[in-house]
Amino acid sequence: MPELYLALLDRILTPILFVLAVVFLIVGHNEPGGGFIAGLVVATAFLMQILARGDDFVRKLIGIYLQPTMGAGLIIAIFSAVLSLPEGGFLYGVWWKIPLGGDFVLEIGSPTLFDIGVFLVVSAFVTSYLLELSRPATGKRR
Amino acid sequence: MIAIVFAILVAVLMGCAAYLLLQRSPVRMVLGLGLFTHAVNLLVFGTSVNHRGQPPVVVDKASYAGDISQFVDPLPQALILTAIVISFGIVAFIMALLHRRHSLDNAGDNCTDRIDDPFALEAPSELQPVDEDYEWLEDLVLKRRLEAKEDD
Amino acid sequence: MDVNANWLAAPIAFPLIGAALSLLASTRVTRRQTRTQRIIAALFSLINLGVAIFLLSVTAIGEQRMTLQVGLWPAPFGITLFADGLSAIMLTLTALLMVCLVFYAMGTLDEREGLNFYPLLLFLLMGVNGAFVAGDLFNLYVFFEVLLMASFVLLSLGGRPGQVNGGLRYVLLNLLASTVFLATTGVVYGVLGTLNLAHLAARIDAAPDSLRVLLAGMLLVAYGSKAGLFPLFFWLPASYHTPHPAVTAIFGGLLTKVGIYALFRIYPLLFPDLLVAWQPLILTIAALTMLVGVFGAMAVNTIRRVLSFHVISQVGYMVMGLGLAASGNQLMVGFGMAAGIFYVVHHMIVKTALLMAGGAAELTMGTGRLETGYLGGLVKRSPALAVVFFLAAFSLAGIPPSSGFISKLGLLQTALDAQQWWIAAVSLVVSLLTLMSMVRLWQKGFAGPMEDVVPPPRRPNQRLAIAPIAVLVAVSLSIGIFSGPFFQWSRVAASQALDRAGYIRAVNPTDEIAPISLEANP
Repeated sequence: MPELYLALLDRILTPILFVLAVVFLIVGHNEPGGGFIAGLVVATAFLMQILARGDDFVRKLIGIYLQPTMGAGLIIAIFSAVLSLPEGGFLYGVWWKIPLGGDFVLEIGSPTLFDIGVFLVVSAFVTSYLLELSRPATGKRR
Repeated sequence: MIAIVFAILVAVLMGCAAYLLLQRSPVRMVLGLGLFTHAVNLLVFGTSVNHRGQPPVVVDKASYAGDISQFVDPLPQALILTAIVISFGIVAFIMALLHRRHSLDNAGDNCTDRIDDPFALEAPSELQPVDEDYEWLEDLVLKRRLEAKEDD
Repeated sequence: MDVNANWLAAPIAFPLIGAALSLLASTRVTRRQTRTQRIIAALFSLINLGVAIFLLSVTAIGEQRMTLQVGLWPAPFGITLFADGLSAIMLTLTALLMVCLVFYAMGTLDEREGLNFYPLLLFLLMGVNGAFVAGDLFNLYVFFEVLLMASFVLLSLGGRPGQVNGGLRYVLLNLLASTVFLATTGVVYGVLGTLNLAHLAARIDAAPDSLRVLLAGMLLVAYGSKAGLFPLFFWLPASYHTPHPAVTAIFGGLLTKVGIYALFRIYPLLFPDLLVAWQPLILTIAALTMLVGVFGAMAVNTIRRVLSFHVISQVGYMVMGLGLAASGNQLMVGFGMAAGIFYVVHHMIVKTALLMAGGAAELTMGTGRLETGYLGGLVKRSPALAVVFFLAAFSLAGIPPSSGFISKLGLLQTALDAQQWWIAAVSLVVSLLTLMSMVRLWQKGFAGPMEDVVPPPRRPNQRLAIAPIAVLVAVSLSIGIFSGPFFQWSRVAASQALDRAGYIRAVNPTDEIAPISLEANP
């Protein structure tokens, strides 16, 4: 059942939650955070959408992308594990430094890649779980 | 001392969990399950008490800047994190199953009351046939038989 | 022969890639999506079979052990993957069953095929493979959970009333067993300060007796309830008959055997002396498991319920091998262990074939009931199915020249050499009762008058359903006839599993680690 106040509030909160998720994802290697937490934050954003606008709205919006997102996340995670095979071994951490011009250097490592994979899997999994449970329990055979 | 507190806490939680798990109501069962997994998580956490001051990877302890004696072993916490994620997934799945059962019951497909079922969660109301797994197929077959007779 | 240890990650990585790719392919339930998923599942299960055979050739035939320290962390600090003959034999069997099952599923599945059946199957394969190569207690737990999670969903896929109830029981009891396992893991770490199996094996002798008895007992409860041992088996007959026959087939062939593998791995490695001291206990559990299983099979009335109870009774034979592991005969010490491993090989193949054939019979007739008026006349209706069922059933009962005969002979010989007359007698009686039960299935289900039934709307594709069963039956027969090399591999696996020093040397856990400054690995 769509809720008026939530529907007003979620316009502000949803973008904030998404940005927060990205922040958690990036700082997660050295500070509290990480792919799992970020995924949960994204799922919270979708949960608010479900509460505010109803589950059918969210299902129509992202329903068909959930499973492919899980697949893509898994692929990215495995890719980060296999990437380091020539460097040393399965799941060995490797880092690259990409100069961005000026004094800025982007340091990115395979653990970050792994975390991105985890993020995709968790956000899609938890969202689809919430979507399934918010389906009303009318006796409709699937 | 703190180990004894942990032991008592774990014991109390496990006792509550056992009590809840033996209830008939599915919701209490799920709560009991959650409590049980949390009791075990606490047990694992309690084991890290013995390892204070021995962080596993920092070997060159003398030259390390921080106060090593206050370090807690991080491994049990990693184990608990994994275990929490796993139990979260399973409890989520059980909730989905219960949700499904609820909607089947609403549809009149009563899947709980089986007289032959020692694990039935509610008391059986009447005698029912045994073969729950192929009932749907047998219904179809019987329907076909009736149709075939009508054709003759 | 020097083999790149990274191959050990392949049995985990390939099924995961397959599952991920088929999830990528699933946007909505369409026929084309199902076809893509079928192709991916067949391809990756075949790749997995190739990898498993390669690992088998290195370990069981080349008599080597393989160790992979994931992320190059030295042994007790990182994740260790380990394979020896026992692991490789289990990996190969799993891969073979999975290939056969994928094709069987294509031939028999109904609309449930569209509900991501194949990705789930690949996740299951990944979990089982991971449990077989895990080198520490906690990863064993994690992979147990991965395979359980996939099996929960497979069991209740489609959400039919019976499935929902069976699924609830299965989930609940298995979760309790896993939690006991986790508690054991916590206690082990708290007391011994490590979870790596090799490191544990090196340290556990110093632990007090009371603690070792506690750990061994808790692990016996945890693995025993996964394997379906005597007092803890009741989740199995309550749930295995509810899902689609293809799911029952792979569960009956694989899942309980992961528990058996864990017992075969952990007990000789961590508690070799308890294996001797607890021999009466283990043999009693084995005998009771056999008897309860076979009597249960007589009491129930549908094909798959009968076969589920036989899963329990057969598990008893494997545990009998474990109980006799410490006693030898004139050939070698640990002959009982080898016989137990050989029995696992035989059982996984034959049981899956039987459950597939029974499931195909149920699907062809639209019912699984053994009372008169339901099943019957399948010899005429589907002769090929009747032939494969006949061969598999008589292999299970132990009629020569099938693999069942050889494997039971091995166990019996060890029992007689160890002068455990009573367990030999029990196993013979259970064999006889198994034969009776199989004859009952044959007479009620396959022979007998053809019932006047209208076949169900969707019959299984006969060729796709029967060919995998025929392959498995052929493998079982060839194991029975050319048993020499297979038994040799089992002996290598058993001697590797019983050799603690070799295991510790292969993993080589260090008590000291070279200092890692935070700069070296930024």
